[in-house]
Parts: sequence; structure tokens; C-alpha cells
Amino acid sequence: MMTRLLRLGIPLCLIALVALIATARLATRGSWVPPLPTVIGEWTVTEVPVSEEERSMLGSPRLTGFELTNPLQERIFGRIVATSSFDAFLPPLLFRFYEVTGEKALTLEGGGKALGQVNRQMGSELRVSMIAWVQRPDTSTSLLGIPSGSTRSPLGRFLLGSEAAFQENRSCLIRLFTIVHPADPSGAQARRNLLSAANAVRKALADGKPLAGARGAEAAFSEGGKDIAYLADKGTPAGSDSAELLPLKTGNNWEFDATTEGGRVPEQVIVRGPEVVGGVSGIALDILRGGKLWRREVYQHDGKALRLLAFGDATSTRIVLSPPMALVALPVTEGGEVHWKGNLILKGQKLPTIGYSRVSARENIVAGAGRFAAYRVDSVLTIDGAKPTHFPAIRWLAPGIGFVRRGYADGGKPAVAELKRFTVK
Amino acid sequence: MFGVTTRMVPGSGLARHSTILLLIGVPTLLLLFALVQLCRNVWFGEGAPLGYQAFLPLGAIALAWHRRFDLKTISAELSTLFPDPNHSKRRGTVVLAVFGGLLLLAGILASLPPLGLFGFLLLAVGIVLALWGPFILRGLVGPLGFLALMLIPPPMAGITGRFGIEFQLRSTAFTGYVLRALKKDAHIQGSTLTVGGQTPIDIPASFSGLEILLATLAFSVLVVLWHRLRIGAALLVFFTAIALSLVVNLVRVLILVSTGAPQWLPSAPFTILICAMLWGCGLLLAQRSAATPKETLAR
Repeated sequence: MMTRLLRLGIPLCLIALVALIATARLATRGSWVPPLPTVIGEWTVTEVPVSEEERSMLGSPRLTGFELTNPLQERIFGRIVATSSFDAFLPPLLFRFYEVTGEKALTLEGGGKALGQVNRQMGSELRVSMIAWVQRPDTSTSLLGIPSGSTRSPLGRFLLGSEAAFQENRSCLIRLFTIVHPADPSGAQARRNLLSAANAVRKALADGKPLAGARGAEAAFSEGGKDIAYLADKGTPAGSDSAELLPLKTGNNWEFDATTEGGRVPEQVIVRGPEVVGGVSGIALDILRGGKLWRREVYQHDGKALRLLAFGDATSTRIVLSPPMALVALPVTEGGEVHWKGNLILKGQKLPTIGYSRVSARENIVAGAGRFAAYRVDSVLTIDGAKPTHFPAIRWLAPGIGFVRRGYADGGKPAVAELKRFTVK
Repeated sequence: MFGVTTRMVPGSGLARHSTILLLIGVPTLLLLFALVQLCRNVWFGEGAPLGYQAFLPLGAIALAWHRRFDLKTISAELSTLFPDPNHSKRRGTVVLAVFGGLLLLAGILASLPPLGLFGFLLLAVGIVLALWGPFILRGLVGPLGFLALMLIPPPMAGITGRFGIEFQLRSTAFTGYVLRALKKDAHIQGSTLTVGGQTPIDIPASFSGLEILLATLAFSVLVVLWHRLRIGAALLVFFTAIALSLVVNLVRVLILVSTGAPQWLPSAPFTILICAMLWGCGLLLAQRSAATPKETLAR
């Protein structure tokens, strides 16, 4: 009898001991939710509350909801969730009304792995791209436990739990998701934004340590789905130089049909000739409305970048950028970004300003003058201050042609000008 | 149960008691503590509809205690038929208990309450089998079956998701109809109720009635097993439980609508009230028809 009791009692005592140690360790290490700084790379972080319903659906783990905003005011929503409950690996509440239409493993900086996912809203064409990975304090990543489609892996969770309990490895689940904007039909920019944000978040959490790659057994998930193209890497160098992107020979001109809040207005852009701005030589462009000078912009190309030197209306105010701000770095790459920090000189006053410009997409533009393959260049200048002032602009530039479409603010209202005719020497 | 077996081995009772308590009881209690930690969000989380599950082991223990005389009889018969205390009819394998413990450990590491609960059930069954054999295990089918039936949680995503929302909406609609029947001007929009043009009141998920319904259904199973009720009487208890939980939740929502203070209306007192009524109902039914063991659900 005693032998039988010992045969049962000893394993039970051992299991109970291990279970207690695991419970105690998971209670501390399993609730790791690292804080994020308010600015990470080009992204501004704003903490946002998470609803009680979502918290409860995830099994009430510790979690942080946040929003990342880039200089172009594009938003990415995020969650950092402690891996303390099995349901913590469920997607956020929003995804209840979505179906997974694409899945792919994405590679992060340093070789880290993340699950890329496209979710389509049921009964509509609205898509939300998402990236998710398990992050450890040593900066390594894992896909363990992350659900593929609607399937959650108990084995993955078991391995993660064992790591936390016995290998001193804490982990948290990070999810970032963004709406695929209608102006981004291939989802390429959404994907680039997600990867940029993911790498920024990882660097922020690495606290100066070099980024490690993926570690541990990989979770099995099915790559594919009808929307997998939304997760494919489409960044390709175009091999164009700035002179071809915006031909700046004197006399070149472009005629536009501008649509503003006041109606349709004919616009003409003429390359006037060389001009020195703040000691830097550039090429001035006159923008005429109804035959009268309306605005002036000064550009420069030096083989490394297409730069903006100055802009402003013709009659009174000219705004000078010191140093000149690069709009497009060469060679042109879809997704290529330029960050600028300098001063905006307005009526002799120096205003500290930051600039951001990005080749967001290569698009086929149909305008009055024909059909063009053009790069959409999104730019924004932001004057620092208690209430930052933004100067956004969108330029569609076709190599060898120049402007084929322009988007800008006209008295604070959005306006779009489309190419009707052009003369380029 | 222990007392009966102890008498079978004269002179070793106290030592055996202490050994069982130390080697089996203590680790089982520790594992139960780990299980409670694993399930604390499911059981004690805000608005958790499965909080009643935390009390199920107590119900099973009470049921086993209630059946102690049956177990004594089985044990006495076994010791007469098989005098060797180590006979296979009086002792079983330890594998099931160890496997159950390991499964519970896996559930803890995977943060997966259903796996942990299943492991704990196997552990309980395995301990009974290892220490007292298959016949005593059969005698405990009622309490263990009660645990098995009630302890494994339904999918939480369904409970807190579509199913919960459905209950919340129906609870709101039901209250609205009752108010209209009482000649009150009630307007229903989703889970929002507007009475007499006053500020709209959102009926929260915790007032869906699901929590009360699940708890009272579990208690009604205990009542049926305790009193060994016949199928007809058992069905009557189940229907009474459903009807009482719906009516009591309606009263709760009506109080909420009239006071607008959900913090004063936790579901626990209402659930206890229904359980007391169900217990009385079970007593009455048991007195009216004394069931034979063959005809009861418990067997």
C-alpha cells in the first residue's frame, strides 16, 4: 500500500511543485507590457484606451492600446498585449467583422519574423492590413501562438509559457494594423508603413541593443489567400534621375485644369529660369492662374535629389527653405523616404521646421494630356510650435514629362490640378 | 470513504491517513490553487459569466459526502469479496492521475483553462481509481460526472461574443415588452432602453441574464443528482431553473431601469435566491416521489 501511495504521491508532489513555480513565474513574467516612448522614428505615439469589451474578450490581460501617426498623418493602430491568457492571442475586437484574405511571413529588421495579414470587411471592399509578432526583451521575435486565420495553436502557447516559466524569457504580443487607403489600391504603402512602424517599435523596445532575429520553433501557418498580393514586396528602383522626373529647362511649360472649391480654373506652370535663393542656385517656376502670376516655386536638382528651395505666392510672401529640402532621393524607389530638418524663412523670421517626403506609389494617371506612369510624391512641411502648422502637397511626376497632376492646399482647401497640355524640351 | 478503508487494515489507519493527506492531499490542494490561478479571469474577471464554476468542486465534494453510506457499502462488499487490499478490484493504476496532473501543468503553461480543467478532472478520477479502485470510482460517478459536465467551460469567445450579445439584446427586448404591457412608453434600440422619454439606459452585458442562467442550470444538476430525481422531475427542475433565472433577471433589469445604478445589482444575490428556491423545489419533488436507484439520473 505504501509503495502505491509513494508511486502516486511522489509524481504528484513534483507536478504540484513545478505547477506552483510556473504559476508564480507566469504571474510576473507573463504580464510583460513594455512602455513605448512618445516618438519612435518618424512615428508619434499616442496611447488610446482599449474598451472593456475588447479587454474581456482577450481574457483580461495587461495591454496597451496606441496609435502611431507619421508626418503625413497616416495612422497605424497598435496593441501590446501580455501573453498571460490564451485568448490574448485573439485579434482586436474590430476584426470580428472581418475575414482573413491573405497571410504571409514578413521579415523585420535584424531578421525578425512577423505574421502579415490582410483582413477584408465582410460585404465590402475595405481591407485592413495587420502585422503581428511575439517580442522578447532580448529583441528576438517569434510567431509562436499567433493565430493563423482563426486557428490558435495551443502548442505555440505552451512553448511560450514554458520559456517564460523556465528560461526567464518574458514575451508580449505586438499587433499593428492599418486601413488600406483607396489611394493605395495595391496595399503596398500600407505594408511599408506597417513594416516601418514595426521596425520602429522594435528599436524602441530594444533600448539601444542590436536587433536579434527570429528565435525558437516557428509556428506553422498557411501562406496564401486571395489578397496575398497586398503583402508582397513591390519596392523597385526606377532608374530615373531628377532631371527626367522634373525637366527644368527654361521655357518648359505645363497647362493644367485645376479643380478648387471655387470651381475649375486653368493653370499654367512655366520654367522661368535660374534664380539664386539664400545663396543656393535653383530653377524658378511660375504658376499662373487665368494668365496672371499666382505662385512661384524654386527647385534644384544635383544628381542626388530633387529639392525644393522656396515657394510662396507671387505678390507678397516667399517662403525659403534653409537648407533646401529634398523631395525625392535618387535613384527613385517606390516607398523611398526623405526626412528633412531645417528652417523656414518667412519675412526674415527663421522658423524651425521638419519636412517629410515619400515616393508613395507608381501610378497610372489618365489626364487630358494622355496616360502617364507617374510617381506620387507625398510631402509635408511642419513648422514646430505649440500649434504646428502643416504644408502638405502631392506631386505626381512622370519621368521625362514632369508634373502630370498636383494636389495642394488652396487657401486651406484641397485642390487638384490635372495636366491638359505640356511642352518639354 | 477513508474511514472505511482504514478499518480494512487494522493498526495502520492513522499512518495511512497522514500519508494520504501528505502525499496526495497536499499536492492536490496545491494543484487546485494553481488551477484557480489559471482560471481566475474566467471565474472572477469582471462580468465573467462562469464564476459559478469556482464552486463546483465544493458541490462535487458535498455530493460525494452525501453518498458516503453507498460508498461504505461498496467498500465493505469489496473487502469481503477481495480480502487482499492490493487486489486490482480495490486499487487501480496511478497512470491516469499522473497524466491528469501533467495535463493540468500543460494547461498552466499554455494559459489554457479548458486544458487545465480537463487535467484536473482526470487527476481527480485518477486519484480515486489509484487509491480505491474501479468500483468506488463507479460509486462516485455522480459527483465526478457532475464535475465533468459542469467544469469544462464552453468556448468563451462564443459566450462573451455572439451568444452573449444575443442574450443582452433579448433581455433588453423582453424588459421593453414587459414595460409596454405595464402601459409604460418604452422604446428599444439594440441594447438601449428609453422609458417615458427619459435618458436612454444601456443594458450592459452583465445584465444579459446569461451568468444567472448558467449558474442556476449547474445548481439544478446538483439538485437532481442530490435528490436522485426521476427524469420527469429532473426536467421540471431544469425548466424551473430557466424560468426563474429569466424572471429574476427581468426583475433585476427593471430595478436597473428604475434606479439606473448597476453597481448595486450584482448577479450573485439573485443567483443565491434562485438556488434556494431550486433546493426547495428539489426537496418537494424528492418527498413526493422516492426514486429507486435504477430509475435515477445519478446512476
